[in-house]
Amino acid sequence: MKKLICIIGAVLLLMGCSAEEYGIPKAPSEDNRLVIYTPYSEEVYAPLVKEFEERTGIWVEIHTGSVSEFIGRLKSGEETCDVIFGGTGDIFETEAALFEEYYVSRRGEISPEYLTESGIWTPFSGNPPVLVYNPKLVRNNPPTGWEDLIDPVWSGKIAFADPLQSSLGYNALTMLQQLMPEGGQLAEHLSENIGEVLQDSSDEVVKEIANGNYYVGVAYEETVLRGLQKGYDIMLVYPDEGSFAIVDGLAIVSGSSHRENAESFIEFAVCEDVQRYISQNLYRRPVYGGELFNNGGKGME
Amino acid sequence: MRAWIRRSFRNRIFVTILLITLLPLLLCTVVMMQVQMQRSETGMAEQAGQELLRAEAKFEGLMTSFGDIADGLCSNTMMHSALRRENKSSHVAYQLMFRMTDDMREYAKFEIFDRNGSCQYSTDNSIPPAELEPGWGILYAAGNSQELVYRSGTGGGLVAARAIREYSGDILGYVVISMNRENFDLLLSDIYSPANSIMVLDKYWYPVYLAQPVLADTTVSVLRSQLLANEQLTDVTGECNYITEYQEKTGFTFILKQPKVFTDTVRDTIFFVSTFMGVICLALCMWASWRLSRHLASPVHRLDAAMGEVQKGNFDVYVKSSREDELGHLADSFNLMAEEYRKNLKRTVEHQKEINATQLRMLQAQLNPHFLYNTLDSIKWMGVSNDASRVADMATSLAVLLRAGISGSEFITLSEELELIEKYIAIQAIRFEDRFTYETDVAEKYQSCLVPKLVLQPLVENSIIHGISESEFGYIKLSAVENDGDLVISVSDNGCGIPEEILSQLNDQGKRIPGQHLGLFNVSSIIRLYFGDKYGITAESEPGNGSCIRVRLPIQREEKHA
Repeated sequence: MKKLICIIGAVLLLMGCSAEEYGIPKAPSEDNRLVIYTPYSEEVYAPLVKEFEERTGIWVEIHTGSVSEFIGRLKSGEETCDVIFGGTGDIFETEAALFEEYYVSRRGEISPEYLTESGIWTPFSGNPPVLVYNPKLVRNNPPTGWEDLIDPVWSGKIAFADPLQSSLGYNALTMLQQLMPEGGQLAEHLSENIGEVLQDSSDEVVKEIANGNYYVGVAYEETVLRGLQKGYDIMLVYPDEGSFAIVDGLAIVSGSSHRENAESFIEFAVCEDVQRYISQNLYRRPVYGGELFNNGGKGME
Repeated sequence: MRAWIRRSFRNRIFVTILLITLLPLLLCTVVMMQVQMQRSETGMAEQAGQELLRAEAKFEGLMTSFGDIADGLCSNTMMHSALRRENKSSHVAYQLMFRMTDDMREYAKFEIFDRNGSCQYSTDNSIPPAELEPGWGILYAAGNSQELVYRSGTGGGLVAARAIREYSGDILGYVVISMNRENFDLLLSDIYSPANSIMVLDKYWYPVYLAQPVLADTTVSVLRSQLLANEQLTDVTGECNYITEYQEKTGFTFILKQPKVFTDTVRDTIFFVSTFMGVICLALCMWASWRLSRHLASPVHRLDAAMGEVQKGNFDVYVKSSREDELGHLADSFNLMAEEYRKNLKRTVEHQKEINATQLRMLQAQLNPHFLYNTLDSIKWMGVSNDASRVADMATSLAVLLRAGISGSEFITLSEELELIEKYIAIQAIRFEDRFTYETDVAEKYQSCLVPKLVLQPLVENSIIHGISESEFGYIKLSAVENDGDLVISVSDNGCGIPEEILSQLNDQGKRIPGQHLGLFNVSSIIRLYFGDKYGITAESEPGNGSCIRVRLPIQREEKHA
């Protein structure tokens, strides 16, 4: 009796195992992989990553999101990657323990204002905050410099990114505090003039200006140029007082399992072709200090 | 379980029938289902594989053609000189291009770029000429290779390029071939069945062509992650299979998305329905087997029950059976056997009764001497004629006794019995010269009770002979009482008593010892034969202190005849 049951059971089992193998395609070997974390949008990273893959044969896995949140997860061990691509230099320097030093081969050619002593991170591009305004709303006396931000004329009509939420806001504020004579009291005056509502990002600032919700704003040069290219009706103003380029960079996470590939990526990011590409197509300033190409001369004052 | 099966023949049949009906049914269903599903799926997979190969082959053919065109353009001296001159619109160059791409233009757009990345000639002038960057993307790749290189275009589509070089190796320009959605639709339509959809991904799994663009972004990135995670390719809903094929020439991957024949929901439904049907089948089979087994086993069961009755001693059983088969024969045989047994029993009982009756008669024959009676009569008359009155009295008494013994019915009234006893006493009184006295104490109401004749005589005799023969002042009392609905007649004396062993033998009704105490045993036997073991003789005695013998009889009254 027992034997019979066993035989029947075996037969049924065999029937049950319908082979559902459709042939798993060849995945790339571990040597040929790289995991990158980036805060950039797809428009920015995708062409670069794709070019890197085609040139080197290394498969890239991209994760996106805010750098500060990611660093939190990195510390707690929830998540890891090989390279953080994007994020301002001070973030890397504050958490230097999480990253490995790497001195890119073209380091000598990089403009000194982009470099810092530390080899923890490598600069990738510069992006200065600029003024932007809506020409339909502002017909006379457009703003010319940072001083206009505390001019009561523009009270309640200024779009500014929240320093607590956005790197633009934070960096812009720090920069303004350095550039303007008011120094410490600047923040108070600004917030009085700007009011309660703050934007989340450079993109939002530009959009709000384009939509006519605000008259004037502070945004990254890159965002404004991109907006102009898309056909937004906005004007870009390089302020009289000047501006500092906020430098984004890359860093290799320590303990990364694809160290060599990570280094290749950093080399790639600062190579001439890429730097030309980002200045022509992504409106970012290259780290070699060259002029911006191909802004078409539109909307500049 | 085993014990339950062993316990009844019917249960055995039940289990057997159940298994026979159920197992093949289940086996068949399951096997059929599995085989069917297997075959369907295999068939579908094969078909999908075929379609994919066809698509891939057609694509490869196209790529080969592109390669040939590129070859032609790259080696053409007129093209070289046109590019060297760097002025647009060389008629010759255009003609050349159009001639070479004659039958291919519906599948792609062909362009010639100069070394700086400006488009000089194009087969599709509806779109304004594009600028490409020689240090980037497709042109960069073409610059680094001697052959046609293939990439996915930005936002999809295919773009292939080859550098047109001087003999020295310097780049003069580029041939760029682009395929968009429509081109792919045209190429790959009718190759695969409408239910399926095809995807072409580049070397790093970015989309080149998606037949169903709707879910484009998410689907491809999901697949890419699954690939990198070494997981099997599945879609979100779990209702489709992905079959992949790697295209060598371009490094592209072709993926065919085929809806599963048996999706999880379908499988669940099938499983649910089969289980449900299975349960119903089980119930039906059990019911049918139960009924059938009962029907088959019932005659056996009845026979078994009848045998049980017989074992208990009840022979009055009869097994009804209208069958003509072996079971019918068994039932008939059983009935005959029971009948025989019953008859046998009756005969035995009858026989036994006859023996008892005969024995009784024989017992009484011992008390029936015809001859002695006649002789005594003679003695009486000789006594009378010789004036010996005491001889005459003795003889008369004896005659009465004997007459009673010979004739008449088995039963007489107690009053008549007492008269006989008095005659007996009279005789013994003469013998024993008045050494004893005799007294009776019998109430009026008992006088008419029926008793077996001469049943008390042996008791009195026993008292006289064994009780008081040695003494001078013997006393015998005969009394009658009612006890427990029975008549108990006691004969007590003050004699020497009955010895222990004899006493116990008397009281133990089973034994029979010939010899001196024959009389008492006879009385006991007669009473028990007539009335049953409840009745008979009991004795009480203390050696040296008298004895009392009791006779227990049922109370029977004389029937008065008219």
